[in-house]
Amino acid sequence: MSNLVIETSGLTRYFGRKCAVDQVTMSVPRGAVFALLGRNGSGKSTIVRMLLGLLEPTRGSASVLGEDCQRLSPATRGRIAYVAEGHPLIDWMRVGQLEDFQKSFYPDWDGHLFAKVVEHFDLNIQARAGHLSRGQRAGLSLALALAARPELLIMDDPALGLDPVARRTLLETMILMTRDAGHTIFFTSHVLDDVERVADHVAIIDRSILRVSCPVETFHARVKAVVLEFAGPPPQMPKLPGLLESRRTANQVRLIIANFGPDAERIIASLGAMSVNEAALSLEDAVIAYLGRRGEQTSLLSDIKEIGVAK
Amino acid sequence: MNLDLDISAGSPSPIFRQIVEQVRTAVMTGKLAEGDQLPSVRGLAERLLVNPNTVARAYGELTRDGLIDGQPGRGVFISKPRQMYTKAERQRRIGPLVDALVHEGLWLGFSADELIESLSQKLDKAANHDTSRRKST
Amino acid sequence: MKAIFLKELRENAKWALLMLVGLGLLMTYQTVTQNGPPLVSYPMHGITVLGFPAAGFVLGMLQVLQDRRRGRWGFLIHRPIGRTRVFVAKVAAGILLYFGATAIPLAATVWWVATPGHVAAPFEWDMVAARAADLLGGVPWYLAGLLAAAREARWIGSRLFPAGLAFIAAVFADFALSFGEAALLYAGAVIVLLPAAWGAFVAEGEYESKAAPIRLAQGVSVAAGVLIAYMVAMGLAFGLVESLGYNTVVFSPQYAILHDGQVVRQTAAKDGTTQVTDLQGHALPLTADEISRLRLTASEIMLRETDPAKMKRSELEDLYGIQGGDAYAHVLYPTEQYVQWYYVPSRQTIEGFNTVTRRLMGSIGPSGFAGADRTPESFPERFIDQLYAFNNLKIGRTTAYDVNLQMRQAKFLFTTTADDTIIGGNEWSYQGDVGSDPSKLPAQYDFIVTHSTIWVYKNANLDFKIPLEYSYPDYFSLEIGRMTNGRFLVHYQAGYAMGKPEPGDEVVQTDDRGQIVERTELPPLVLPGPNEPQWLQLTETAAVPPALLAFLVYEERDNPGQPFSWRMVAIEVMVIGCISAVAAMLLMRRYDSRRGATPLWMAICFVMGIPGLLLLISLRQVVARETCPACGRQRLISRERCEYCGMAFVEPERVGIEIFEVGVPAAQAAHG
Repeated sequence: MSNLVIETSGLTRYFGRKCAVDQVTMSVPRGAVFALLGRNGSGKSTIVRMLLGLLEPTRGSASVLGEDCQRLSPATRGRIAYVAEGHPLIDWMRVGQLEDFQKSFYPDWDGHLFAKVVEHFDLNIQARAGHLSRGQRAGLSLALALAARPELLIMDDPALGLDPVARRTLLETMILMTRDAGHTIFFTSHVLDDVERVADHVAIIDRSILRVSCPVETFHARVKAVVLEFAGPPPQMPKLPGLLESRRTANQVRLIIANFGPDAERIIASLGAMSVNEAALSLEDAVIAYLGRRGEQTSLLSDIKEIGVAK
Repeated sequence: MNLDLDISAGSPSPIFRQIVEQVRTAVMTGKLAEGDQLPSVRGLAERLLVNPNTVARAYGELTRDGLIDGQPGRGVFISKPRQMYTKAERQRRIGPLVDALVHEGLWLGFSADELIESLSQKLDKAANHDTSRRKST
Repeated sequence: MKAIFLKELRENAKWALLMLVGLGLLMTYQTVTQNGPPLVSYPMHGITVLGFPAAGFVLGMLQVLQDRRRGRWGFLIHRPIGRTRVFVAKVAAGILLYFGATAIPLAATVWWVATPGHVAAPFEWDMVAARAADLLGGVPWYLAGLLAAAREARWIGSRLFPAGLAFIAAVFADFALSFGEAALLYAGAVIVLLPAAWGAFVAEGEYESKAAPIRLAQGVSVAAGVLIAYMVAMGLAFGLVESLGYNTVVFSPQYAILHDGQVVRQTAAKDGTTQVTDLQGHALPLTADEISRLRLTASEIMLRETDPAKMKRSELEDLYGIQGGDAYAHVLYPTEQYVQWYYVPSRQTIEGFNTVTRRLMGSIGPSGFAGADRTPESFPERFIDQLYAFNNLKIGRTTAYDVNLQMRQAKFLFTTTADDTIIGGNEWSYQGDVGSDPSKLPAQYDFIVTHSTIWVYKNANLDFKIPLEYSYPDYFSLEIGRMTNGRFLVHYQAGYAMGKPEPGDEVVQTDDRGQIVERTELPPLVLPGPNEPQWLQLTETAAVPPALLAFLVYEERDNPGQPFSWRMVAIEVMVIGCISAVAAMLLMRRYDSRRGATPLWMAICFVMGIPGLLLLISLRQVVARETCPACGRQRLISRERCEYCGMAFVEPERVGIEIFEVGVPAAQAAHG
């Protein structure tokens, strides 16, 4: 068995003249819980659809479980579960009918797991899929996916629109999958808190270009927040290798830097700061630094002086 | 097991570090004593709703620090306190904390004697706690 | 696969039911209100020839569109079952529902009509074949609907093009001579549309990425639609231009024969007046009204081929085609108040139906009237002419009868040999001998025209014969009349035959025993040529696909009315063809194509002209280009390497913030 369940090489997709995915090369190892992060419209869903052979790449290649994505065999598809964006289902079918429908394709159906997930999401067997709430739809999609006993679970924004309770149950099911090292999860999300809990690999795609693909541990180690204290107003920040963003207050500049190395250190040292300290950095702030604009950031709060009500 | 861990995502401190620090604190305050069993990696991961690797990493660091001891087939236990660090290293570690106590205390307006008194009380309490636990096991 | 089949069935049953009800209502209304055999009436034909295809097409489109909405496509496709099996399950369900929606109302209608006492008209099983053919015709439309919804198409117009192929098959099938022929045509359309639909279904991606047979099938399907849309658009455009004043009504000159035998030529002018001249061209002071008054009363006889062995295809279609106007039972005139008489061609019988009880009340055969209890007696030959007239005369290939519906009588009138078949006939009532004497009855003439002779029957007895001097197909009709001096006059009318040198009309006068006394050859009438300006004619022909233009001109090469010379057309074909081929070559630069695709499309556009270019644009997708850093040329972004210098695409530039590391597979936690 190969160690890598998903591999892409120069995967590219254009829509007309616009490049949605620009030569993405990444690998997902077996057993990983791999989170693909990026802003809306940065190419995440496009990548997911290409991985499942639902969209043809413009250039480059991708393989899942050792097979080319454009030519996935039925047997391989049976080992992959897919929860698409928005949790699409057959709306007119009832929960029970959907189970029967899905069951007929997967001989190794785990009815007990299905029943339990359905129960935890408060689903009524008689309810029609089209009448369910967002969270219930997500739960049903998840139940249908997991009961098929997949090796690889691919989910596109599974937490979208979910209330906190449903999100918690979603998290529980993902942790459940980690019980066995043979399960791999590949998902996209905006809920960084949950990503921090459950993911052990993270990838960040910024405006169609992949910037990060590594274990979370490595990400923590290589992305640092550095605070510079100055006597007076801080000087302009020169070009720093790996600088993601900088924010200044009265006497302070807070930098978020990736791959903080000796070159960057030297440049910082030459700025004449009173103190240079590493600060704590949450995953959320680090990711936002990747996804925001480069360079000096201002907060909306400092740009707006006054906000009042209409008379 | 009297383990009450509460981790939060989105905090500047990574989750594994929160686990490490909370276990350390529990040992220091006496909530956990030598020989107490910790949940398995998987068990703790499922309770906290985090990736097992994160718990594994925390346990790894705690093991390196000598705080816990994994016995194959039997579980994870708080180990006998033993010194892993040299005196110099220990002084280096405690230094900033003493500095913080002194600075903060003086700034708040405590006198040196008040601070020393406060410190003695806390140390006595910790020692009693420790003794009573040893008596009960 | 069964699960998908059932899902499709259940999901689309509501549409099929809706169609079933709609068609059922329409058919019921038509059956109940129609005078005459409802199954083969024009409105019923309209319902089936429009309704069945519409049902098929809509069903096919809905089956795909419903699943493409809201991301359901992935849900359907991503499962451990090959896409072909999903396709098969869908099509099986779709076809089943289609036939359910259409065959059930049809079967119910047929049952109703076939049961005596419901419809006051004869029933022939052949009638069912006609409607069944339309039923079959819905299958290509269904596949076209699947293809239209499934294929990648940028705008709504090009998406619907595959319907064109189903349409063409239906149009040709409308002229089929048998159910088998129609079935064959539909099968041909299915052979192209099925792989095309399958190909669009089983692989994501544009036309270019499909296998060659799929591309061919899809290309043909879309080409059909392009051609039809193009021809309609051109027809409308040029019709609009012409209506702006370039095309005036053609006022063709005519001959008129007056009751004294004088022949005049009348031409209607643009301003409404009529110009009248004699044969030498001298003007005559007559108005159109006066001519009508002074005209020779004559019987007009249309000439036609009645021998099936010698008929043209179009004539056979009328009589024997499954959608032929004369192929099935039709009403005989005059009609009575409570009885409707029909001629039934398949049985060669004349059957009468009581319009109140709606049952057969009797039949008229060669031996006379028979009641409803007896099987209708067949005539020896199929009647081909004079069936719609109010005459008693009924004409077949070699026999003619006098059928008096009111008297319930059929009298044998005439027979001829197989080598001198009948080509026309008519009845005529001559008032001339009567004057104002009420005791005298007008003479009843029956004229029967064979290849060699005009047989003149007076009051059902042979009076005399006139040898036929000029025949079909050179002459389309003749009129026979009696002049004021008692002579008979036969005017052979040449008509305006395209493609043949025009003969002039001929006038022959005979005595009352049929002896020819005088012959007059009338000068040929000159057809006014088209008064379109030259530039308009050139533009119109330039719009015609070059291959078609060449073919048409070749077909019409003997027609003196044709405005073009061979040379001019050859030049025009080459010019339009070359321009189109060059345009194709330039267009191909925008696409990512295989080797050999460009010459192929150039050839296609050379032959097809503008529709070919439209086809190219409809099928293919523009691929973006970017500047190659190595050679500076604009290279396609869909290739792995620059097609000019071979340089590979480089990864996006690193800006120092990248972190790439592949983790190891999750190790079992040591303390797990």
